[in-house]
Formats: sequence, structure tokens, C-alpha cells
Amino acid sequence: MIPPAAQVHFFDSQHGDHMLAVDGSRVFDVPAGTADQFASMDQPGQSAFLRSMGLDGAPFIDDTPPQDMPVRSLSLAVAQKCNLACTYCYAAGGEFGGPARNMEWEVAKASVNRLVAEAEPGVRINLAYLGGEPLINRDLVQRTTDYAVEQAQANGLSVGFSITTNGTLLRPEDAAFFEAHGFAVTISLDGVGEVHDKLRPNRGGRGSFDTILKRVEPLLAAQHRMQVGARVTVTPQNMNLPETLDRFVGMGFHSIGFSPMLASPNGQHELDRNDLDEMLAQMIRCGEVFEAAVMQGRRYPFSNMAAAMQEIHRGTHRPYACGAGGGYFGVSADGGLFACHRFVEDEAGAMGDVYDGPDLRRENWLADRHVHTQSPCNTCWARYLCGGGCHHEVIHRGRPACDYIRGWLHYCLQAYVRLSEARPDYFGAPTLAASA
Amino acid sequence: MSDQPGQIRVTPRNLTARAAYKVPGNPGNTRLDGSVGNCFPGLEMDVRNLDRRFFPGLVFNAVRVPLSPVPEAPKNAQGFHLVFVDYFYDPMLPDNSPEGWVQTLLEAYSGDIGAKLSQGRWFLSWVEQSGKRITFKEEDGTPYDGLMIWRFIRSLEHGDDKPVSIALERRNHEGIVDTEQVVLHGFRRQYRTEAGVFSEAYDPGELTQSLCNPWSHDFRDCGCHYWPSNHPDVVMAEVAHDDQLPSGQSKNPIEAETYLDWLRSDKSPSGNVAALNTVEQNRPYQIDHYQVNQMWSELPIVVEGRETGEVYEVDPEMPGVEPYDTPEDMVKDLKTRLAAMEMTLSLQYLYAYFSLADPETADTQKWPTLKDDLIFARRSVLEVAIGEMTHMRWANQLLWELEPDDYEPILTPSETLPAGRCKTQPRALRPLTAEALADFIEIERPGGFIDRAYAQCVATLEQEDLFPERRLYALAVRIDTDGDEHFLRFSQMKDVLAKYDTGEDTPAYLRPIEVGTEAQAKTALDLYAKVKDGLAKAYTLEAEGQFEESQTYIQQVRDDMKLFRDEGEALAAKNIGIPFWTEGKA
Repeated sequence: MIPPAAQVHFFDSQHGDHMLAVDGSRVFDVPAGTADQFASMDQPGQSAFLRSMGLDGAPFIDDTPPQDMPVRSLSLAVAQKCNLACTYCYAAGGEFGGPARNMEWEVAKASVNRLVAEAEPGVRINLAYLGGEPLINRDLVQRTTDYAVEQAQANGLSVGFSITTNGTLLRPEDAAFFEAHGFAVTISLDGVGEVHDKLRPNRGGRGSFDTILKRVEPLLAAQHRMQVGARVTVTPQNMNLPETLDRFVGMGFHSIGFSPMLASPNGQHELDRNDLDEMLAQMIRCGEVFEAAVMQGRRYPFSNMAAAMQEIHRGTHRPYACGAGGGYFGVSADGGLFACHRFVEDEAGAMGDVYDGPDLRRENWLADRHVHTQSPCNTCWARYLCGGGCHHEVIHRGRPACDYIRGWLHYCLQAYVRLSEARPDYFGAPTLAASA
Repeated sequence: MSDQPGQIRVTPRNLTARAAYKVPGNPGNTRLDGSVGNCFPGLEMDVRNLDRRFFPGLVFNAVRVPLSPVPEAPKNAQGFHLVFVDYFYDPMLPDNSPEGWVQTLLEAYSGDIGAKLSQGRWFLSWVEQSGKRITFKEEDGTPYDGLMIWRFIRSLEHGDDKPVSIALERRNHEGIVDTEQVVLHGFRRQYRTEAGVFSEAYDPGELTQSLCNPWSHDFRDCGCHYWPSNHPDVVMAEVAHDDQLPSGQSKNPIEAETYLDWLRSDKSPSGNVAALNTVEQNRPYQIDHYQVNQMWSELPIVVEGRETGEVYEVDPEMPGVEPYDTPEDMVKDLKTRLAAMEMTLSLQYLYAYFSLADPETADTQKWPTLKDDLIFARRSVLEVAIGEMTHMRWANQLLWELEPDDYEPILTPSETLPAGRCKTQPRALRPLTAEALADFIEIERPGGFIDRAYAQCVATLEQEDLFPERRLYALAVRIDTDGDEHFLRFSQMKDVLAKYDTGEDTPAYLRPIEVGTEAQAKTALDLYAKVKDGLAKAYTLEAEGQFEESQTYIQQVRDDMKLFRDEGEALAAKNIGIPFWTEGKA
């Protein structure tokens, strides 16, 4: 039984006291002092309290893992090699600890066929190109994209594309191709100038920032259907998030997101507890800039915050951190199917191949990874917003960042209340009706 | 506050919280307009609950005259009984209202008047609006029944220019008014806004008070007859589809076509006996009150008048029934055979009807059940005869809808009738002997000639490419399904009448009737000719779309039919049968 104390999380804002009902991620305004009152109760009293608010019904999430999920998204490791030598790379230089190689056309084609085979008409399928550095195998990216479009049309499907690249190999003609197919392009940028260069040197040890900027500019300028985002991996070496964020916003990125470096193959640049405290403080500063912008009715593309606001508003509640092993898989260069792009060539996440689809290991994975089976997640108030954390990081390093995640979500809940009071229109409600 | 939490007021903020939040009271989309607002207890709300608060600050109950009065109970308890004074949260009576009448009422309720009204039994004595006062008493002083007063209250109007005055009287135990009336002035409550939202005067759940509890006792007995009118009284038993003969007939047509009481408590095959004629007769065999709470879920689903098991299977197509080759073939068949045959059948059945003895003169000494059985048989034959007349009209309608320009009424009886496959027999005017009855059963048998003929029409009209308009198809289906009833009626008659056929003389239920001469039956035949003439005119007009003009003739035909029936009875009493045609005297 989950103790009642793990069913709610109280927080406050200048608008009063609030409560997150963990089940269903429901946010309520509660009378002042409710949190203290709740804390002073014994367990039966707390249960009665929850019942009195109607929080004792059938749970939104049960212990049953999803069954027979169709494969909807695949990421193709089109090139298991990279021209950069990032110090912390989960793929260990792009090769995932194996030999460097490119994906063959047959594998890419089979991947598209797998998606098409599992989709009913009208469904959206997604293809992501990753590596290593996917643009090393540009021909395959283009050929696969064309094939996927053709197959989608023939089968009444819609198809979305994304690519995650270090940006060093981008060419002007890529902009046209990505724009034509509405790609979501993510550029890995770990800071501005030298900061980036230190973390993301090329194989000769030279910095890459200036090269990347020059190559990304045509993409930024061409954005219409295409969306170009920056992804910043936060290490102790690039802990100046507000400046980085502001700089990238100014450059015209459609979104900018930060993720903490928690598990690298060689332990390099992982954040420790103090680093995570520092990162949280900086993230909140970024969030405050975001809040100020939204209050003024401006778009501010800080994706961590924007996503959190939408998820809290909708009450997103998930038993998994992501779709890995559910509807989403990573495909290795030789056609192996893995829980996600990070697990490529990792036996811990292996679950079949693209030709025959996911095998029984997937069921085990979904049963094992359900947040209810994770400790201490099953008694954590943040469990359905967090989902238990990145499987890859958890399996390889554990959960060093729980306080950081709870701190961030606590701040986001407060920000949600502030924004939903001040700008209900940001959440899609007409201003008048929402304040009435 | 102690460990035991009281109700705390929380406000849902995000979408999942709002979606899951249980709002007390009626859902926001509850509208009187969308309800089955009958005024017994209705299904969504009891409209009487609105009028309980017609006057600001007061809550009444409409009390009826007790059905079984108890001697020691207070007298004159009926009327519009004041239940309590409720002015605190009445939206018509805000504390700070500038309206004089509001302040006067508030003063009254919170002062002496309120105190007075809390002592003893108070009833509405009269209401006055627009200069009209209605006092709720009979001339002899007996108070009106509460529901009667309620109807008057319903007629009050609301509005700023429609003040209402009321008087309340107190009745003592003997029902005598024992103190001065309390007179109050105000306005009738506006029960709901223009947008249909109910006044906030009503508490959550108040409008649904006194509602019935469908699905349990109401399936057994419901005082307003809402549920009984929404469930079948009689049904036909479930028949497995593989219980059919290759011809499409059921192995046991009687069993398949017998009407059973839907509420019968014995659901086993042994309980499948024909329902009796009246509610009272069936009542002992029905699910009783104490049983219905457990058995209501065993009440079977009924589709097309027939109980169905777990899986409903569409009645399979009648084997071997193919559409006509062309629509023209169907029209020809309707003209030359079907319509005319319906006419012949209705006349044969009418002749048989007049052959049945008069129940009033039945020999009940010798045959105690004869009177009842004759009533049943006469009624049944007449119903079937009228059914055939209806078919004749529908067959004509098919013709005028299919060929509006070339339509000519078919009102001439055919000379032969089908008898088994590809055989015919001459038409015959016969009394309702066992032999005649057997022939009638045969001709009306499901899967028999008539049934198949209409099934062929249905199959033809079902072809949407040829007949995009579904009306004709529906009409043909109606004729086709109607025939089953005829078969059942005759089969029941056969069972009922068989015991009177002793093999000697004329059976007790028959008159020794003979086909009369045209001279003997002149009046009847003249009426018959008038009926045919009137129908021909009516059908022709209807085919031209002149419905109102056609109605004049239909009415005239109906009047003539009544006279014709009287004349037929008079002739039958003299053992004279009407010679609809001259050949084939039986």
C-alpha cells in the first residue's frame, strides 16, 4: 500500500496553498494551512482526508504494463561513428563500444517497413536519425526519408522526422531537405564558444563551436516547417545556463533544452550533488526569465519549462519516463532493436530486430521498468511526472538526481499556478472565462 | 480541527483535476427540456418539485387525500402543505434588497409571522393574481386535494408586473381552521433562467426527489405506467435458427408463434405457455415484487417481438426467395394476384365471421365456456379480416407508388387462391368449420404462399439501385411481417373451437348459415358496392396526392362498413350468408 503521504504534495505560491494529487497529477487549490493539518494527522486520518476530497477512487495508473503496443517511433543509428570526440558521450565516440560502421540501406528500409506494418491508416509514425553523427551517412538519411514518405502515402499514414546532429557536417542543401520534410533538427551545443569547444572537441582536439554556428545559420534562417532546437548537456564545465539560454534564444533556435550529465561511460563530467544543486538554482533562474516573458505575452523557447507547463496543465501522469521499449526503439546499424537510441549495442536494452519486431524481452522490460516497481520511486510524490528517470542513466548509475528533479518540479508547479492565474490564455483558455 | 477532517473546499486547477472533480448536485447540462418530464415522478426530475418553492421563502408539499384514512390521523391533511419557511438563502430575498416587498417578507419570516408559521399545520388557503383569487376548498369547506391545487399553482405567472398574494391557514387536528389567516404578498418564483438554468433556490438533488427507481419494481408495477408502457407485455419465444425446416417454416410453428407473457416467472421451456387474455389472469404467473429485484436482469431482450438469447441473429432470408426479374413483373403480380387475393381473403373471412353464433344466445348450460370463446373467435376473425383489408390497401398503395400514372384501384376479388405449391383452389364462401379453419391456417402459414409472395416483393424493393426510396421497402416489410399474426390467430381459434366440434350436426359455435340470394342480401350487397366504389375513389385521389379529398371518401366507407356489419349480422341471424360471389357455394 502506498502511504497517504506519498499521494499528495503540497506547495504554495503568492496565490495561496496548493496540492498536487499524485494520482492523475491533479492540481488543486486548498485552504491555507492544509499542508500542516495533513502533516499532523495519523495515517488513517490522512486516508480519510484524501477520501473526503474524492482522491480514493480507482487509480489512474495501475501496475499492469501496456500490452501489445505497436511500434510507432524508431531511431536509426545510421552511423555508429562520429567526427567529434565528446568527453562524456554515452555512445563512447559514436561507436557504442563496437566497431565504427554505417547502417546499410536494407536495415533502414526494414525499419520503415516495420513502422508501416504496425500502423493502421491515419496513424503518425516517427523516424529519428541519430548516431554517432548521422550526417556521416547523409545518403542513407535522404534515401530512407524519401522511402518513408512514399510508404506513408501509400498506406494512409503521416510521418514525422527528426535528426540529432552535432552540426559540424551540415550543408546548405540540408536546410532545404529538412525544411521540405518538416524535420525537427536538434543540434547538440554545450555552451557558447570556448565552453562548448572544451566539451565537444573534434578528433584532433580543436573546438567546433564556430564551425557549427556557421553551418547552423542557414537552417535557422530557413525554419518554417522545420524546427531547429539546441540541446545542451550540462556538466560542471558549462554551468552558466541563463546566459547560454539567452544567447541561443537570440540566435533564433525554436527550442533550447538542458539535460544534466548523469552517466557517462568513463564517469567524466558527471554532475555530483553540489553540481546538481547549482544546476537547479540556474534552471530556476532560467524559469523565471521564461515566466517573465510569458507574462508579457512573449514566446520564450526554454523547452524544459514549456514542456513542464503543458504537462502539468494537462495532468500528464506516466508510469514510464519515456516511450523506450514501449512504442519507441533504437535500431542499431545492423538492425538490432534496442530500448532506445542510448541502449544501442547494450545487452541490457536488447529486444529483437527490425525484421521480426520486438521479442519477449520487451514484455519483461515494461514489467521491470514500471515506476511502481522502482524503489524509491513508488513512494515519491514526483513519480508520475518524472516516470522514474532515464532508464539508461538509472541502469548505469542509479538515481543521483532525484532531489534535483523534485526541486525542479516543485518550482514548475508553483510557476504553473502563477502563470495559470496571470495568463490563462497561455494554456489555451480565453482570459475572461478562466478568471470568471 | 481534529484528526477527523471535515469537508474542505478545494478548487481544481489543472485539466485532470477539473475532469475528475465531482460536482455536487445535478450535472450542468441538466435541462428540463431534455427530460422525460412527466409529472408523476418523471425520469429526470419531478416537475412538482419546482412548484414547491413557488412563493419566496416558503416550501410546500402537495398532499393528496389519503387512500386508506386512519381514524386517529389528523383530518383534512390534503392540500398544499407548508413544510417549512426557508428564507435565508432564497435568491429572491437578499438581505440588502431595496425592494419594499422583499423587506416586508423578510421581516415577517424573521419575526412574529415566522414564529406563528412554525406552530401547527399550515396550508395554502388561496392565491390571487391579476385580480383573480382561487380558494382551494369545495363549497362544503372540504380542502382540495394537493395535486389539484398544484395544477392551479402551475398556472400562476411570474414577472415583475405579476404580483402574487397568498393566504395560509392553520388546521387543527380536526381539520378546522383555528386561527387567523396569514396573508403574504410577493411574486411567483422564476424557476429557471431564459438559458434554462434552474434557480439557485433549489438544493442539489431537490428536483429529483420522489423519482422512481427504474429497473426494479417499476418493471413489475409502475404507478405512472411509464415503464410498463416501455416494455413488451407479450413476446414470442426464442427459437433457435437451426430449428427451421428447409422450407423456412419453424419445426413447431405454434410454439414459435405463441405469445408469452414477458414477465412470466417461469423462464424454463415448461413456462412457455400462451399468455392469457387479461392482466389479471396473467398476474399470478408473473414475477412478483419480491422476485423482480433479483430477476430483472433475467428479463430477456426482445427484438422484433421475439425474445433473444445472448446473440441476436438476423432472421435468415427465406430460402429460395429471389427478387422478381423486373419491377414490372412485380407490379403485374401485385395487380393480377396479390391485391385481388387479399380482397378474396378478407371477404372469405368476413363470411366466416358472420357464420359464428351470437355469444349472447350461446347455450351456456351445455357449453359453459362457449360465450367467452365466441367473443374471442369473433373478435379474432374480424381482426384478421380487417388485416386483409389493410393489406389490400397497402398492395394498392404499392401499385400507385410504383406506377402513379397508370394506377387503377384493384378491388375485384380473385377467383382462385393458392393451395400448396403451384396449385390453386377456387375461392369459397364457407362458414368457419374445422375444414375451413385448416385451410385458413394453411394459407396464412409463415413461409407459405402469401408470406413468400410478399418476401419476394421485399427482396425486390430491397434493391437500392432500383428503388433508392426506402418507403416502399418499408411498406412491403410491414405487409410481410403482419401475416404471422394471422396465422397465430387462426391457430389459436382452432385450439379453442375444436372441443365444440362433436362430429354431429353443426358445431355449437356455428350458425347453420347458407349463401343467400342476391335478393335476400340486396341491402348488404348495395352497401358492399358502395364500399368498393368509395374505396376506388379514395385510392385514386390518394394516388394523386389529394389526401384531404380522399379522407372524405374513407370516412364514408367507414360509415358504410358499420351499416354493412349490422346488416350482415341481421342476415346471419336469419342464417343467410352474403353472396359476395355466386359460384362455389359450400
